Amino acid sequence: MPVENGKCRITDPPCLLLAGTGLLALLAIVYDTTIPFSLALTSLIALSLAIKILYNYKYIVSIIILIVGSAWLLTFTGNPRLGLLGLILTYLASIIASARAGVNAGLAVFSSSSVPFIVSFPAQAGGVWNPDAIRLASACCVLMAGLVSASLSGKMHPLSITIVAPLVAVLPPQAAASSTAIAFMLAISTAEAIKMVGCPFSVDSGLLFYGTITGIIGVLLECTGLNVLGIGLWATGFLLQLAGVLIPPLPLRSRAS
Amino acid sequence: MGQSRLLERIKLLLVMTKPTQLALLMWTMYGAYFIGGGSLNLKTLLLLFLTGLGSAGGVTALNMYIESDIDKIMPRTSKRPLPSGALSQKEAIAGITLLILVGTIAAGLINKWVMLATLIGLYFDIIAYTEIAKRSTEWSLLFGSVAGSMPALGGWAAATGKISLPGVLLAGIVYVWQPLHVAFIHYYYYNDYSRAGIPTIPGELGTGTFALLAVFSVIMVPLILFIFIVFEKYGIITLIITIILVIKSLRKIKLFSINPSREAAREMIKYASPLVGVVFLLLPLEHILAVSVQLKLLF
Repeated sequence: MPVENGKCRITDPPCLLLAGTGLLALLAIVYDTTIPFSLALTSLIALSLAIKILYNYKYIVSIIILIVGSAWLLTFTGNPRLGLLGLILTYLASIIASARAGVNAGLAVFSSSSVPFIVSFPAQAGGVWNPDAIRLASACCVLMAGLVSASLSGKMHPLSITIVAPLVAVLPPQAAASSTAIAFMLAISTAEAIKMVGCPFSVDSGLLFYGTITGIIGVLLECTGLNVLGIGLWATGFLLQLAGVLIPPLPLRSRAS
Repeated sequence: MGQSRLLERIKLLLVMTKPTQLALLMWTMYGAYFIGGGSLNLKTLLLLFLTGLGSAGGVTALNMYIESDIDKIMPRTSKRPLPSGALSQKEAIAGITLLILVGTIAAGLINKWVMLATLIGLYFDIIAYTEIAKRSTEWSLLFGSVAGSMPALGGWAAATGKISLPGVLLAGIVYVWQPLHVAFIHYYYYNDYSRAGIPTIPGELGTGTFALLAVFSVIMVPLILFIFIVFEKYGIITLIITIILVIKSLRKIKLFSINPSREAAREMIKYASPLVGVVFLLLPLEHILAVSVQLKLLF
C-alpha cells in the first residue's frame, strides 16, 4: 500500500477499494431492506478502516453524503421536502462551522444528533417506522456522533466507532441503515469542518468517553423496555458528550493578567 | 487501590459536591415534596435522596471539574481537590459520571417528571451556565438559577406525579432568590472573580444597578408565594414571616447601597440565605396543618 508520511491518497487503489466497499454496503442496505444486519457491521468497519487509512474524511464524506443521503431521502421519508430540509440544515451547520471562526464544536455533535430527529418526523407521520425505532435510531446517531467526535479529537481510536455496530442490529433494517449512514456522515463532516477552522473550545476526552458509555447504557435499557430510564440515560450521555466538546477557554481578561 | 485510599477519594468527591449548597438544595427538594403531599414512604425518600445527591451533587462536581482551570487562579478555590492535585482528573470524571448516573437512575425510578426536572437542571447548569454563559456574560447566573430551582420542581413532581403550576411556583421562588444570593457572593469575592476574568453583575453594572436588582429579587419571593397561596389556599403564616424577612433584607440592601463594602455584602449573604430555607420549612408544616384541619372537618 503506497504510504506517504503515514498517509494514503484518495486515488490510491487500496483506499478506493476500501471506501468503495463501505459505500456499496451502505447503498445495498439502504435500497434493500431484507439484507441482513451483518452488512451494516461490514459497512461500518470498511468505512472506519478507510478513514483510518486515508486520514482525510472530506472526499469520502462528500461523495457518500450526496449518494446515500439522496437514496435515504427518497426511500424512507414520507415527505421528501422535509427530509431535504433536514439535509440542508446539516449542510448549513457545516457551512456555518467552516465560515465562522469561533463557532463551537458542540454544533457538530448537536447538529449530527438532532437532524435525524427532524428528518424522522415525516417518516413517522408516513407510518414507515414506529416511534420506538425512531428513538433507537436517534440514540444510535448520538452515540456514533460522540464516538466520531472523540476519535477526531485524537483521544480515541477511530475504530472504536465499530463497537456501536452491534447495537444497530436491534433496529429494524431501515432504521439501522439510515441511522448508521446519516449519523456517521454528519458527525464526520461537521467535525471535519470544525477541525479546518479551529475552535475556541477544547475537547475533554474523559467526558466524551463517559458520555458515550452512559448513552450506550441508555440504549441498552431502551432495548429491554425500560423506556424512561433509557431515555434519561441517553439524554444524560448526550449531555456529557456535548459538555465534552464545549470546554470553554479561559476568559480574555484572565489570560491578559 | 487500598480501602483507605478509596475512602479518601470518595471523601474528596463528596467535597466536590459542595455539601453545604447541596444540603440547601436537598432542603428545597424535600420541602417541595412534603408541600406536594408526599408520604413518608422510605423507598421514595431514599430515591429522592439519591436523586439529589447524584444529580445536584454530581452536577456541582462536574461544574468544578470543568472549571478547574479557573479554580487554580482564584485563591479561594485553589485548594479544592482538583486544582490542588489531591484528586486526579481521571478519578474525578469517573466518580462524577457515577454520581450523575445514580442520580438519573433514581429520578427515573421515581417517575418521568422527576427525571425531566433532573435533566433540565443538568443541561442548564453544565451547558448553558458553566460552558457558554459564565465566562462571557454577567447574566450567566440567570441560567445557573434554573438548575438550582430544579430540585424543588423535582420534589413536587415526586409527590404529585406531575409538573403543575404550584410546583413551578415553588421552583420560581428558588429561581428569583438565587441571583440575589449569588450576586452578593460575587461582590464579596470580587477580587477573585476579577482575577479569573469572570464577569459579574456587581463588577459590570455597578453597585447602584446591582442593589436595584437585589431589591427586585427579594420582592419577587413573597409575590410568587402569594400566587402560590391563591392557588393552594394555605401558606399565610409563611407569607407573613417571609414579608418580615424581606423587609429586613430591604433595609440591609439600603445600607449596602449607601455604603457598599465586603462586610455589608457578607451581612446580606447571611440575611438572604435563610429566606428560602424558611419558606421550604414553614410551607410543608402549613400544608400538614391544612390537611389535618380538612380531615377534622370531614370527620
